[in-house]
Amino acid sequence: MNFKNIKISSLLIVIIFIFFIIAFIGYKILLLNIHTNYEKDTKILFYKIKSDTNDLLTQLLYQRNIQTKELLEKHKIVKEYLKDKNKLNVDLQYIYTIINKNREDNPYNIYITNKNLVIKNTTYKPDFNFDLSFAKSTFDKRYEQNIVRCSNPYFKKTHQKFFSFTDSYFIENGEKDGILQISYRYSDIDNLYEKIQILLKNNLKIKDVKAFVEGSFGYMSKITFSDFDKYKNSIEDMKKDILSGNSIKTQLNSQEFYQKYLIIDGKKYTSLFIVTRSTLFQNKIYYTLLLDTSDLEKKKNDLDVLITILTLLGLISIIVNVKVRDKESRLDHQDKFVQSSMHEIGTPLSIITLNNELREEIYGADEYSSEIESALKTLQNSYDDMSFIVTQNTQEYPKELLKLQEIVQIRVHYFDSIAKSNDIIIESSFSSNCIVKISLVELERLIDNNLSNSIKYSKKNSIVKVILKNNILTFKNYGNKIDDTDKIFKKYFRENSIVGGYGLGLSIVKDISSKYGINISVQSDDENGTIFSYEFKSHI
Amino acid sequence: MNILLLEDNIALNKAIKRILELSDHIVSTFYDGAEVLKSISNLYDLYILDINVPNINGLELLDLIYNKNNNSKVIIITSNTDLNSLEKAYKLGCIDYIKKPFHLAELRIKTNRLDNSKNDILSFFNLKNDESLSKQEKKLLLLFLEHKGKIVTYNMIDENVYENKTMTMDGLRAMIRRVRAKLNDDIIINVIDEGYRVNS
Repeated sequence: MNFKNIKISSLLIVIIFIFFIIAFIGYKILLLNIHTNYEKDTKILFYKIKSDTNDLLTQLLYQRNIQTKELLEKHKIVKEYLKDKNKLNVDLQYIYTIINKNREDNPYNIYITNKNLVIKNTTYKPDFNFDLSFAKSTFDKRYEQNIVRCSNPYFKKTHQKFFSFTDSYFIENGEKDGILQISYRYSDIDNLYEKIQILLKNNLKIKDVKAFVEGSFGYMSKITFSDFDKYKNSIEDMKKDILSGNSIKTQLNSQEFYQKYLIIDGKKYTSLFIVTRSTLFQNKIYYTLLLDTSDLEKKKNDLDVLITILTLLGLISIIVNVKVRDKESRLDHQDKFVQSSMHEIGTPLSIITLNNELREEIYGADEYSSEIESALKTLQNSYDDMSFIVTQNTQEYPKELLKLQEIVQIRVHYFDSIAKSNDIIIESSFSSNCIVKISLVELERLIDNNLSNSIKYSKKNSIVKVILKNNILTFKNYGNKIDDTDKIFKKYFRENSIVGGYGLGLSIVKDISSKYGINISVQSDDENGTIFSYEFKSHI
Repeated sequence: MNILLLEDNIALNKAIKRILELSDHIVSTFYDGAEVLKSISNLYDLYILDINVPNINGLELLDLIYNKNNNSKVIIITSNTDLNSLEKAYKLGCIDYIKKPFHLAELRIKTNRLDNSKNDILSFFNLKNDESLSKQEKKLLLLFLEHKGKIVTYNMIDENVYENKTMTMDGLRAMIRRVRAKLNDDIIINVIDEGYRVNS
């Protein structure tokens, strides 16, 4: 197939198609990239949390190791001090000062409960009346084993601090009579805690965090990272925390990391479960993070919108293309129509011309033959113009050296009969030796169109003057004044639409003139008529 | 000349035939390329071929004609828009072309230019043109030319010049007289009781 024959619209469709494929591949790659990035971010978050929490835990448990002995010692001192004292009414300030000696931050506190395990005397006032009965089973277990133990670090939400406790029953007359509890508040871990807090806060994707430190006997204490959550200590809360902590443990099912996707109120979230364990100790911290994946969804949506717009654009361009194709083929058909017309007209025109001439030759000229001849010549001029336009782009006419005067004479002679039947007289004067290098077809088109126009736009019974002097060919006629002497050379423009014509003649003249460097000048006024002058480049 | 004309349009074919016959040519007309193929063996002095004709187009015929006789003379009739075919025709060897629409004079000039017999008559008898000569007179001069230096008998003249018409000796003498008057040189010699002779 000849490449030149491929329609531009077909080429466009191929390009649009390729564009579509590239866009689709790009879409898939971007989607994959977004997912990979998201998963990578999640993993990074997981490892950061794990590492920071690990630091915190290690520090906590290291301190606990040291504090265990210390705290048990303090417990003993307080227990001794309270002997024979009304423990629920005694002022604890003195003993509080003693156990906190050498510690400016006063990390030790004393809690004394009544029989029902409700705190009734304490150095930490907010915990007054707090019910410790939820831990009764633990207390009982210790009592049976006859040991006093330092508990695992426990996060008190009200303080946002970690604590360890020791506890032992008061025994009065062989019966349990309330609990003595001494607490130690862990210090020097605030910065580690804050580090995690900042990490969680600064990650905008994290919408909710729950963290639990697993304590003794399966207790879970909730760690809060938000400044605003000021919790009240309530047993219900604690029970709930234990339940949620254990549910995370169940979800993880001894894995380190687990995630699941959920939809809450139409928004998509990722629920992330993490457990981290100190490298040195057995204690674990459980996390559950609720990650807002709307960001991911937004990116995906943006991409979808983009690909939709692209698809729409593609579709629109295909539609436009189809329309253009339609027009293109219509133009094609028009071209073919004109070509076929030219072909179809050629034969009958020849038949009429030849028969008219034959008749004239055999029977002699009559009053009609010259009229017919003139009309035929006019028709032939239009025909030649049209075929010149049709073949203009495909046909290169061979240039030759022509005597300008000879050709002009022949053409003027040819147009004589046309002029006569239009009641116009052509007056000519020639004095030129000018030789021009041009194709005969083009030179004829230039001269013929000027002669044809001069006759067509002349007043009845006027004179058309054709003057050739050296290399300047002038056509002068008397008709209506031409208003715009530039526009008349434009294709399909007709100064006078009543007289008719295709508006091709002068545009052909202009094309030929520019091709051969022929200077055109036009003057038109009512008095002197219209003068078209052509200055040829003579060939030396 | 003996001319083969291929033109599928009947009216145009008729018109061209008439014009050619007015110039004393013998014209065989064809409307279909395939028909020409059958009669191609007849040797024609000139072929006038339209390119766009049914079955076998002018260009293919052109090729076949030149294969048969390399010295054939072919004129192509073409339309203005079909200039590419013209280029091919020239490559194949056609001598001239006529573009539709055309004038009688154009056809006449282009065919007569190729008419050797006519050209020979003009040069041999030292004439400027043949306008003054009638059809019969031209045939007579051609007959003399073909048999120059030999006797052209009355019988030969009867057959070739008068063809179907009846020849009378008075008529023949009158024609010879007229011809002699038109020629610049007196070169027609009487051969008593036999005919005439033109020396080479």
